[in-house]
Amino acid sequence: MQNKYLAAGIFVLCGLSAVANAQAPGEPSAVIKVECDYDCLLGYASNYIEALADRDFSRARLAPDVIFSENNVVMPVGNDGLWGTISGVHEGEMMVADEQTGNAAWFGIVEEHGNPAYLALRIKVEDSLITEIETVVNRLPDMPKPFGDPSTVTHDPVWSDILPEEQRRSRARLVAVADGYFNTVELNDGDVFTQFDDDCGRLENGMLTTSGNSGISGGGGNGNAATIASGCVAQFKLGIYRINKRIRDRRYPLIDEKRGVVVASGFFDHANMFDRYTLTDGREMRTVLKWPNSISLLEAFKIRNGRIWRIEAVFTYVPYFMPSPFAVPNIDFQTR
Amino acid sequence: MKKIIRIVSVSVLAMLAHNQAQAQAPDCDAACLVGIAQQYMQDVVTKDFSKLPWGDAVRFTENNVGMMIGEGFWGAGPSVVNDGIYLPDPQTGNVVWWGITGEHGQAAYHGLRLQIENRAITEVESYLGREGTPDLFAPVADYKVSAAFTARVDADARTPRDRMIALVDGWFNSVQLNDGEIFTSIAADCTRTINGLNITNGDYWAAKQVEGCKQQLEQGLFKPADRIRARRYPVVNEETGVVVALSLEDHAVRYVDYKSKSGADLKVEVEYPNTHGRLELFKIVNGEITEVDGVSVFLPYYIHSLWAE
Repeated sequence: MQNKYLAAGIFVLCGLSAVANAQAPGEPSAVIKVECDYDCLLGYASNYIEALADRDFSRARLAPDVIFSENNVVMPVGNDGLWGTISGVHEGEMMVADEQTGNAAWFGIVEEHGNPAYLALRIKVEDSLITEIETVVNRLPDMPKPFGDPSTVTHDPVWSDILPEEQRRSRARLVAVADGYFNTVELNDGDVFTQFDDDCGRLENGMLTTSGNSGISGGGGNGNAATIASGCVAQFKLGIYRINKRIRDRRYPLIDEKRGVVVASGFFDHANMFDRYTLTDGREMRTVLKWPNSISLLEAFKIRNGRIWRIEAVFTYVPYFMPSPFAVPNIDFQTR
Repeated sequence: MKKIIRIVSVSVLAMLAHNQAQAQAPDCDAACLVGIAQQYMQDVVTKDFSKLPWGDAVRFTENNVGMMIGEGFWGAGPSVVNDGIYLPDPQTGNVVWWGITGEHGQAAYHGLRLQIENRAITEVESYLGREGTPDLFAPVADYKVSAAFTARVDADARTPRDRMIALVDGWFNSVQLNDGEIFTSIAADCTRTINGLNITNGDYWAAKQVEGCKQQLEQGLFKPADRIRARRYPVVNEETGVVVALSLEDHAVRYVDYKSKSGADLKVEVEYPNTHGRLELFKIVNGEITEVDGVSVFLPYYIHSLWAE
């Protein structure tokens, strides 16, 4: 008799389990309810930045168990890192959002004790509260890297433009195009694994590193790839980024089909197993740094007609092979 | 009654066995530890780690990031620039190498710790203070490892192991939130070097304020060090009076201007949050810290330690 009830119980549990999984793999429901739409998410991002500027985290609408990282280090939110140093926020930020995943991103310039720094912020909103805050802050002084003159930086307004239907692509294709970009950068040997718009332009840490594009402006300076080759594709065909051994821990938490936007996170690992290399045109290059290092980044792509049109990135140096708390939670000694 | 006698007998035997084990020589004595470290330093240059005696599960970090052996310094055109010194501690099974290495010809201050268990390497922890970061760095040509770190201390000037650790821990307590209070004993002529730069004597800004380890701490020159955490002391040697300490020093940089105890206007060296990962050698004679040297690595603020419990 007892066995009969037990069997019935197992049958019911199995049934419940099957019902619980009857949706697309990895999705919480077969219908994604938009609890906070595009403008709502941008509101959360703006509100977070305002709270940060005032160093008042109580106004940032944070979940009790919010995860906050700055340059891949998890720390208490409110008094450490940028929260303890911020002295101003420049106007003219770039913001994007993904209604499906509840993510929003903010790219702009802040000041710490009066010194400008480039900030890229990603937040995730769940049940009307921010549950994840991922920030990359690019500061000076540091190792050689792009750092555009903040007074000359403007964000291209096309980031917020809704694309005509025929120029849009599916979420999966948008990710594939962005992922192909990273595959191209990785071990960059001249092969191109993605598609670029002829008018492609890239702003890195406030520096226009492709030159010659309308709609983008940013300060020039040392470390600008545009001095070697002009244009997104030309640089990759020349193989100037060969030092990237790995583009690691890639994540695509924010995708917006309407606007053709993807925001990615990851690391560029420079193992520096060699300190000189040859471009596809025969020119010899030397690495600026001789020792292993990694670059941590938040990078936004604007994709129209399935081709990368605009790129904006904020990145900074971190110790070689440093992990991300969002890609590898509970990090211990995993080396993958 | 018989049962009680049997339990007592077993307990006595267990105690005897325990004491016997304590009296036994360490599995790997100082010479053994140094031998393994020497082999490591030889093999890293040839990038051949296949012959090293590895344990079953090996943990490896470089500048506080876990990675595979063969990555990091191993892969970056490695060379050993000077012979360095070996600091073994048979009691803990740790051995530290301190010296200068090169990557594609560019020199770095290098502190390496190996944990040896059953004559096999189970832990590799390395810190490389490289040129071109916001951390301190002095040209290696002007640097020489102090002979004090390998010289034996006279028997009557030695300090017990636990007290040595307490003194170094007190050093960190003095540097942390440095307000002039000293929580350790420091010799009047103590000197301190970071990445080859003498910060207690010479042209360094702190030395221009006042010379000497103790004098600088009494002046509160290092107040911006908000926290010194993940402190560990894997090598302690009573005979040479050396403690090797590892730590992470957080600078939250909530302010950039501050004053020394005598009222001098001071400014933080880097005006954004940062953390210094350090492997440092402390020399202790007559119960006082006489010399400090080591490597410092500029790390993202508040980076977590993969080693501290």
